[in-house]
Amino acid sequence: MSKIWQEFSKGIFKENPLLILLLGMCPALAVTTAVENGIGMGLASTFVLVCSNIVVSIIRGVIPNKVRIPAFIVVIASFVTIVDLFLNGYMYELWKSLGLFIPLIVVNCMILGRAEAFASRNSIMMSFFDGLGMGLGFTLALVVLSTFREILGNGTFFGIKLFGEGFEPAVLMILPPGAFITLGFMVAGVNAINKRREERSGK
Amino acid sequence: MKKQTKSIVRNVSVLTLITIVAGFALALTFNLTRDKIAEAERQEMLKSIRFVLPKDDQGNPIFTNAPDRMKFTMKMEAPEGEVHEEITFFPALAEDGRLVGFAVKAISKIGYGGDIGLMIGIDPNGKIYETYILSMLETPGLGTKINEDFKDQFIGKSIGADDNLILKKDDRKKGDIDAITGATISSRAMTNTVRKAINFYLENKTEIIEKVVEKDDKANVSSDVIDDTGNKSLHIESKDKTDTDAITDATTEATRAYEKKKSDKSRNKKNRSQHLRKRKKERSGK
Amino acid sequence: MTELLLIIVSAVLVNNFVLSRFLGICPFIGVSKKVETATGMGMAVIFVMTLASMITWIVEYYLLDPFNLSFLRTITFILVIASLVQLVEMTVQKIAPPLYTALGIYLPLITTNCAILGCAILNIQKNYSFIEASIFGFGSSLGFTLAIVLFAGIRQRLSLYRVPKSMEGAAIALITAGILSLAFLGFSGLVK
Repeated sequence: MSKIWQEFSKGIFKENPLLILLLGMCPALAVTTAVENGIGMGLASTFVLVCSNIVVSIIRGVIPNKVRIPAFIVVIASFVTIVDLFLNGYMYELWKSLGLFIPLIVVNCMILGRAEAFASRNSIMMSFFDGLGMGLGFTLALVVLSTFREILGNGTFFGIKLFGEGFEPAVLMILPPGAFITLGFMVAGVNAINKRREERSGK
Repeated sequence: MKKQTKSIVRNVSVLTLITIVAGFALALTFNLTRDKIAEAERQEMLKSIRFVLPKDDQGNPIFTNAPDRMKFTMKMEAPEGEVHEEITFFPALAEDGRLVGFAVKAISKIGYGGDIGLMIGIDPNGKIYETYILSMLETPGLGTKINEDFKDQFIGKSIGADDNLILKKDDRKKGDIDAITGATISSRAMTNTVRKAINFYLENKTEIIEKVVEKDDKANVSSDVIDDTGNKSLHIESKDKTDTDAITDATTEATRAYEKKKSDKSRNKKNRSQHLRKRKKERSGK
Repeated sequence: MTELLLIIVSAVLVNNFVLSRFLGICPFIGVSKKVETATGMGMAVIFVMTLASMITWIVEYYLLDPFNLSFLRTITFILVIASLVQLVEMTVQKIAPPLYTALGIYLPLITTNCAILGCAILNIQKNYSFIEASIFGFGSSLGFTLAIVLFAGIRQRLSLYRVPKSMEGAAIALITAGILSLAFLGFSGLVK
C-alpha cells in the first residue's frame, strides 16, 4: 500500500515533471496565461499520460525492443487525438483556448518519458499510479504558474476580476518573457527548497 | 540472416497491428464526436450572429430564421496585386419574412498580430447594430482592448453623408472613432475593415438582397433559433426584387428595437457607474 | 516574392518559434550550453523541419484531406516525422560519418521537438500553399537556430560567472531566455 503511495506522490513533489525533471515546458509556458487554461491542459495531459501508461504496461511483454518508441508514439498520439476530438465537441471554449497545444501533447516529453522509463517495465497498477501522480504534479505546477501570470498580468483569477478599475496589470506577465521569467523563478524556488531539505536531513 | 528477416517481420507486423487497432479506435471516436463537433462550431457561429443582431425585450433575437443556413460569400475587389478578400452575409429574417438585417463576417488582414475576425450586425440600410470580435491575435491588454469599450463606438454608425467611420487621427474633419491609446494599428484595422465591409454592402445592396430572395425557399428554421411562439413559417414578404417598402418597414421596426436597445444600454451603463461609485465609497469608508 | 520574404522575416524575428511561440523549448534549454552543439542542433533542425513541412503538407492535402481523414492528422504527422528523422539519421551515418558523430544523440531527439510537429500543424492551419509551407518551415527553423545559438553564446559566458546556487542550471537559463524574449518583442510590428 505504501508502495502505491510512493509511486503516486513522487510525481507531485520530489520528481515533479515540470519543475524538477524539466519536462513539458512548451505547453507550460504557452497556455498558462489563465488558470482555467492551466487546469485544462494539465488534466488533458494527465488523461493521456494515465491511459498511455496503462496501455504501454499492458503490451509491454509483446513489443519488440527495436520498435518500442514508434509503438509508444502511436499509442500516445491516439489518446491525444481522442482528447482533441472530445474537447472540440464538448468543451469548445477550452478547446479554442488551448488551440495548437492539444495535438502537441503528443510530444510532451513527460508522456513519452514515463512510458519509456516506467510503464514499459512495471505492472499496470503501478503504471496507473505513476501516471496519475506525474500528471497531477504537472497540473499543480501549471496551476501555480498560471495563477502568478493571470493575477499579475490580467488582474483576474479564473476570469474573476480581483482588483478595481484603477489596476493596471503588468501585461508583460502574459506575454512570452513573463512566462520564461516566472517559470525560471519557480524552478529556482523549488531548487532552494530541496537544497534546504537536503541540508537539514544531512545534518 | 534468417533470424534477421524473422525479427524484421515481427517488428513490422507488431507495429502494423498496433497502428490498425489505434486507427479503429480513432475512427470510432471520430464518428461518435463528429456531430457534436459540428454542432459546437455551429453554435459558436450562431452566438456571434445573435450578439450582433437586434433582440426584443426579453433578450431573444428578433430574427427567426437560421442565418447560417442562408449564408453566402462574396469577393471584395482589391487593387492589383492584393488578395481579393471574402465577405460573408448571414441574412436575418423576422417571423413574417421581413428582412431584419445581416450579420456580416469580414476578416481584417491589417491587424497588428495577425488577422482579426469580425462579425458586424447591420440593418438593411447599412447602419450598424453591434460588432463582435470572432478572433484576434492582438497584444493582450493593448490591442485586445478593441473588444471592450472601443467597439461600442461603432454602434449606430453608418456610412452616409457623414462618412464618419474613420479614426479621428486619420481624418480630423470627418473621423469619429477614437483610437485606443498605444494600439493605433489594432484600432485602425478594425475601423477600416468595418468601413470596407459596409461600403461593399451599400455598393452591392441590390445584388445582395437578390441573393437573399433566391435563398428563400431553401431556408428553414432550427429550434434553437426561434423563440417561444415556435413560429416556423418563412417567406420573404415580397418577391419583387426592388420592393423598397418591405425594406423600409423592416428598417423602421428594426431601428425602433435598436433605439430601445441603445437606451437600455445607456441606462445600464448609468446604473453600473452608479453602482461602481457606491462600491468605491464603501471600500474607501473601510 | 515579397510575400515569401515576409514569411521568413516574420518567422525568424517577429514570431520566433522559441521566444514567441514556445515551440522547441526542451532542446532549447537542454542543448544550448555550448555554441558548437547549439549550431549542430540548429543545422539538423533546419534540415528536418524544412523536409518535414514539405512532406506533411503533401500527406495532408493528397492523403488525409481528400478522404476526410483529417482527424488522423496528429498521428500520421508524428509518424511521418519519426520516420523522417530515422531516415535522416541513417543517411547521414552513411554519407557523412563525421557529421553523424558530431550530432550524436541530437538527431533522434528531434522527433520529440515540438517545433517540428507544431510547424507542420501551423502550415495546415494557415492554409499555406506548398511553396509557402516549405518557406515557413525553413524560416521557422532558421529562427529556432538563431535563438538557440544566441542563447548558447549567452550561457557560455554566463557559466564563467557565479550564480546563486538555487538558480544554477535551468532556472537562470529560463530567466535569460525571458530577457532574450523581451528583446525579440521589439521586432513585433515589423511586418504588417
